[in-house]
Amino acid sequence: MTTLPCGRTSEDVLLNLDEPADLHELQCRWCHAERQRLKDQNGFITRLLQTSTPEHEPEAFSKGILGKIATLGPRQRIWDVQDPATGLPRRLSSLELIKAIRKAFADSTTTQLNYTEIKATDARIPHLRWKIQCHVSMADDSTVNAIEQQVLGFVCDAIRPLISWEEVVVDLVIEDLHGQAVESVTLREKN
Amino acid sequence: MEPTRLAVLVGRSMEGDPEAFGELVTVMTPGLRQYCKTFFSSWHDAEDATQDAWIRAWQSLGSLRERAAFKTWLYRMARNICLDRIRQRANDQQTVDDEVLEQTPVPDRELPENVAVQRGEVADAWQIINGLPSALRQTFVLVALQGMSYKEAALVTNVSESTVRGRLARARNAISEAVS
Repeated sequence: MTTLPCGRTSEDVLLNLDEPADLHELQCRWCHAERQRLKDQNGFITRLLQTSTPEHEPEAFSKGILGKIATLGPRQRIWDVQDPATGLPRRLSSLELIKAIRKAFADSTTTQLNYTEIKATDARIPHLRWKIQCHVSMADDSTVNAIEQQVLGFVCDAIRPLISWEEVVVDLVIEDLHGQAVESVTLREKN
Repeated sequence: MEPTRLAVLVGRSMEGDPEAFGELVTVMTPGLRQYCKTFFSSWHDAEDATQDAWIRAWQSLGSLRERAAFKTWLYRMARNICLDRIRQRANDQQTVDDEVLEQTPVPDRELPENVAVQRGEVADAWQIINGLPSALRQTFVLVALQGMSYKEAALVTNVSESTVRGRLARARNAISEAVS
């Protein structure tokens, strides 16, 4: 490890290469030059590695992975539900219910559905009580109060043609840009 | 990928949507493959591990607690797969025992001094990276190539942030010496 004329070493500079220069470095031409040298040399290699990887056909490789995953089959729960049109029992996957909920959210300009989960909360067959988690991001100019009835409406409208229900509970979780929960509220609708 | 887009794709994948998961695979495979390469001398082995990581991720998405942590969760899974594979191969060329890695000095003499890095020669750049001990390689790829924060890289490699900082400095020093 090289010791610079100012007394600091290359390692001192390297350890803080991703941080802004400290006061000493800002005033020290040796440290400044060392930082630049290290950044240039590492940047050169980094760019080379980022631009290309040998023996790589990304699309073909990703397709191969997806092909293998497709053979594993869907990972979703199947529910015993009551068909609202006929009153007869039928079986429906979580994904079918979730797709309907997502469709209801698709045109919303105030909320974006990030994640949803649906499960029955009763032990009866067919199930008639449901709990739905909705993790959403909302527009900056919206409020939780403003969107909660809208979200409950989206969920109920989405599942009404698919299943009969006595009670729907919606756990609404508001998330920030990074998917971290910032607020939550429980909503309830009875039939 | 933007964090909001990633959050939505991870959410939909957790719901069981194969199309969303497919988009994650397409976008994130090149980086994951690069990371897996830090454990192996051949790209073929890295690709096998990458594929296993994605299959395991699809099968265990239900265990992911924080969607925002998907990338570190995936890379940790890949790391475990790579380590398992190497442990199974007693005759593998590269030692990956964590304690040994921690103590391995940057092998100045082992760095290919005669590797003349010429612009455009990606293979030579990989040769330099391959000359680093595995722990330094992993850290360099996670932070410098995959853009992870020190905290994320620490979570993936199961060490402290200060260890990540030290390893990255050693990797960068070795790279600078090899280039100059």
